[in-house]
Amino acid sequence: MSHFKWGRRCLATNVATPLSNVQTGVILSRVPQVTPEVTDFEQKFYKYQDELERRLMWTFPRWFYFKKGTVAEREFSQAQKYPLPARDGVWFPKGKPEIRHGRDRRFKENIVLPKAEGHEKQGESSATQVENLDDASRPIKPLPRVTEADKTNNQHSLERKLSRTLYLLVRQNNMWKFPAFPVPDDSKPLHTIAEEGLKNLGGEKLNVWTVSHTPTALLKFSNGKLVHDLPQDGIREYLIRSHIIAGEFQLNKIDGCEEYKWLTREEIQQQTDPAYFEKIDCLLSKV
Amino acid sequence: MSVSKGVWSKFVKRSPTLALRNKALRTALLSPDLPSGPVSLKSKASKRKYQSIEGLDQIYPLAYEVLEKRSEDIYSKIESLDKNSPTYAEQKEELEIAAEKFNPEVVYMAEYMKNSLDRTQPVFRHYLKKTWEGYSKMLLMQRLETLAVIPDTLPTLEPKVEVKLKFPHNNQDRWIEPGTLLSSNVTKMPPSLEVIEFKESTGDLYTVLMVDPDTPDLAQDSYSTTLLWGVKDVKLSNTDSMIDAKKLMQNEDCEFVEYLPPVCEKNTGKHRIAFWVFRQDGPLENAPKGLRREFFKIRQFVEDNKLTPVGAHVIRTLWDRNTENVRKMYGLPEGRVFTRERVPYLKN
Amino acid sequence: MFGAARTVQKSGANLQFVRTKRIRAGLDPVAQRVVTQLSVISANRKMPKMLKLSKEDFVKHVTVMRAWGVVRKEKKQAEEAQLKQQYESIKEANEDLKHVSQKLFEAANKLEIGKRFPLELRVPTEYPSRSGWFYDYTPRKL
Repeated sequence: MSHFKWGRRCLATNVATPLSNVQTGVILSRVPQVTPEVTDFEQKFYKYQDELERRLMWTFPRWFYFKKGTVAEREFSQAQKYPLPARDGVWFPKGKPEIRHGRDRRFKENIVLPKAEGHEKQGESSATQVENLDDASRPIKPLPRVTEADKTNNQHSLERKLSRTLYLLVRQNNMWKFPAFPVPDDSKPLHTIAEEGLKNLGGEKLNVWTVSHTPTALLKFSNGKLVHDLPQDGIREYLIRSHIIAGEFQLNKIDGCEEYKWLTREEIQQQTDPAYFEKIDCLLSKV
Repeated sequence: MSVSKGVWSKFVKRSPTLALRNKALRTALLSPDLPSGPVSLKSKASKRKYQSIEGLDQIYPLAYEVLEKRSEDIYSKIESLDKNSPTYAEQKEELEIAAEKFNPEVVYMAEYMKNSLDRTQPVFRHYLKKTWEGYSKMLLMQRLETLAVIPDTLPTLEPKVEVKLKFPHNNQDRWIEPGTLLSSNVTKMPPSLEVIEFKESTGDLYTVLMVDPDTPDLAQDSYSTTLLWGVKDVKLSNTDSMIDAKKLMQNEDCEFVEYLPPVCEKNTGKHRIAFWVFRQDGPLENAPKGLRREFFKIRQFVEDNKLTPVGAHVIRTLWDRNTENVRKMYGLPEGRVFTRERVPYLKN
Repeated sequence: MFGAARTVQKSGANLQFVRTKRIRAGLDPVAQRVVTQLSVISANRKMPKMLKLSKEDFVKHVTVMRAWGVVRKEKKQAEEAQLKQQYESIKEANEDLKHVSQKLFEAANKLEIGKRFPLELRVPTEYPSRSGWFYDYTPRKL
C-alpha cells in the first residue's frame, strides 16, 4: 500500500503526527533451553514401540563390525550371553529355540557392550575422578535438567524451568502485565519504540531479537482495567513479540515498573488478573 | 485388577451385551498383562510357549483410560442432544457408535465372535457392515454382474442387507458363496436365508423371490424366466433374521408360491438361480393367488407390489443324473433332452 | 551363497562374480569386503520369527494405537485452535492500528525480506550446556 508511484516525485514529509493514548508492550520470552518434558503416556508409548522394534530387528551383523581374530571381536563375543541351542531328545517347555548367527529368532536380541578400560570403577569414585576432556570415549555425564534456580524457585533467574518458555512480567502501575511504553508520535515504528523502551527498562546488557514488526495483540485499558469497548480517553496497547537471546534483565525503576519476574504460562495465570490472562492466553506457549 | 474404572464397566445406561461373557477372557482383556496366560490359546503347550510384548502392560492401562474418558464425553454429548430435532435418531446412533467403537471388549467380539453379536447395538451393526462391505458385498456384486443376473432379472441392485443362503436339509450347515454350482440333490429342498439388516429393524416385512432366468423358450429361440419360489410378508428384525422351514411352518400364509426345485434339462447348460430379497412398504394385499410361474415378469411384479430390492443371491445348477429323480419327487414330467441342430453348410 | 563367488577381474568397480564351489582358502580382500557388505544388507538368516500375538494381545495393541491416535489428534487440534486465535488477535490489532495511524500500520506490515532466526538463538537439547546462560552480553558499538 505504498503512496509512491513510479516515475513521479513527491515531497517527503518529516512532520510526525502526534498520537495520544497509544502504547506498545513487549512480550519478551526466553525460549526453552532443553527439550520438552515427555508425558507419562508418551514415555510409555515410546517404550512400547521401542520394544516392538527390537523384537522385529535384524540380528546384529557382528562379522561386519568386528573382524575375526581381533581383540575387539574376542571381547565382544565374551561379553555376549549365548542362548541355549536346540538338542534332540530334550523337552523345551517354552518352545524349541531356533538360533541363527547367535540369536534366538523368537525373541529380541540383547547386545551387551564390553566395558571400556579405565571407566570400570564409575560408581565408586565418580565424584573424585577428574574429567579428562580430551578422552573421546569417556562416559557421558549430562548436567541435570533441574537447575539451582529451580530448587530455590528464583523467579528473577533465566535458568529456571529450562524445558518451558519464560515470559517477562513486570508490576507496572500496580498491575502485573507485560511492560508497556508510550508511543508519542508516529516517527518511529512500534517495534523500535518497544526495543528502546525495553533497553531503558532492563539495562544495556540485553540481546533481544524481535520476531516481527507486526503487533500480535491489542489490549484496551480504561482507568487501569482491561475493557472491551474503548472509551475516548482509553489507552491502546499493541504487543510486540521478541526473544531474549543473551544477557540479563536488570530492572531500572522507570515507567512505573517496580518489580519483574520470569514466569511460565501457568504462573502468569496465577499472577495476573483473569481478564488480562484471558486476552493474552493464546499468545503464550504451553511448552 | 481391572483396567476399567469408568463408563465401560457400568451397565446402568449401557447394554450388558457390550461386555464379554467369558470371565477368564474378560480378565485377560481388562488387566494390564495376561494374569493366567492367553485365554484364547487353547492348548497348554501354546499357552506355555507364548510370550507377550514387553512394555504393553505399562501403556495399556493408560490407553484404556484415555479411550474410556473419550467415551464418557461422548455419552454426555448424547444426553445433551436436542430430542426434537429431525436428525436426532441419526445423530444419536452415530455418537453411540463412536462411544463404543474403541472399547476393547467390543473390538474383540466384533473381530472374533461375529456369529454371536447382539445386532440391536449400533456398534456391532457398524462393525458387521464394515466387514460385509470389505468382502462379501463386493463378491456378491461381482458374481451378479459377471453372471449377468443384474441386467437379466432386475436392472440393478444397491445392496442394503447381507443375504446368506444355505441348504440345511442334508445336514450341510454351510453358507454358500454366490455363484456356486450346486447339484440337484442339494437344491431339492427349500433353502434357509439369513437377511442381516444394518439399520435398526424391529419388524419390517420382506419378500423373497427365487427365479430361473435360463428356462429355454423354443418358440422365441431364447430364454424366459420361471418363478420357482415366492415368500411374502416375512417379519424380520435385528434379533430374528432367519427365513427357514421353521418360520414358514409357523406362518403358513407366507409361502404364496410353493417351492419347485431347479431342474435343468439336459444340454441346456448351467442355469442361474437368482434369489431376490425385497423390503415391503406394507403387507402385500394383491398377492396373486393364481400367479403363473412360467414367463414370469419379475420387473412387473416388483413394480405392481411396490417392492424395493435390498439384497440378492445367486447359485447355478446343471443337469446331473439325479435330476430325473428330483422331477419324480415333485411329480414333474420328464425333462427334454436338447441336442445341437445341424445346419447344412451353404457354399455360395 | 555369497561364499561361492569368485572374482574374475580384480579392479574395484568392474568385479565380475562367477558362481563356483565355496572357496575355503578365502577370497581376495576387495571381493571379501563386497561380500561382507552384501551379507549385511541382505536379510538372510538375520530376520527374527514373525510376531504372532494372541487375540487378547492383538486387541490390546490395537487399543493402544487408537489411544495414541486420539491423543495426537487432540494435541494437534489444540495447537490449531491456538494458532487460529493468534491469527484473530493479530488481525484485530492491525485493523485497529490502521485506523489509529496509517504510517505506523505500514511500518508494522512492511515485508521483512531475508529475515531469519538469529544464529545465537539456542536450539533445545536433551540436557543443558556446560556454560549455561550467557549473561555477559555487551552490545557491539557501531
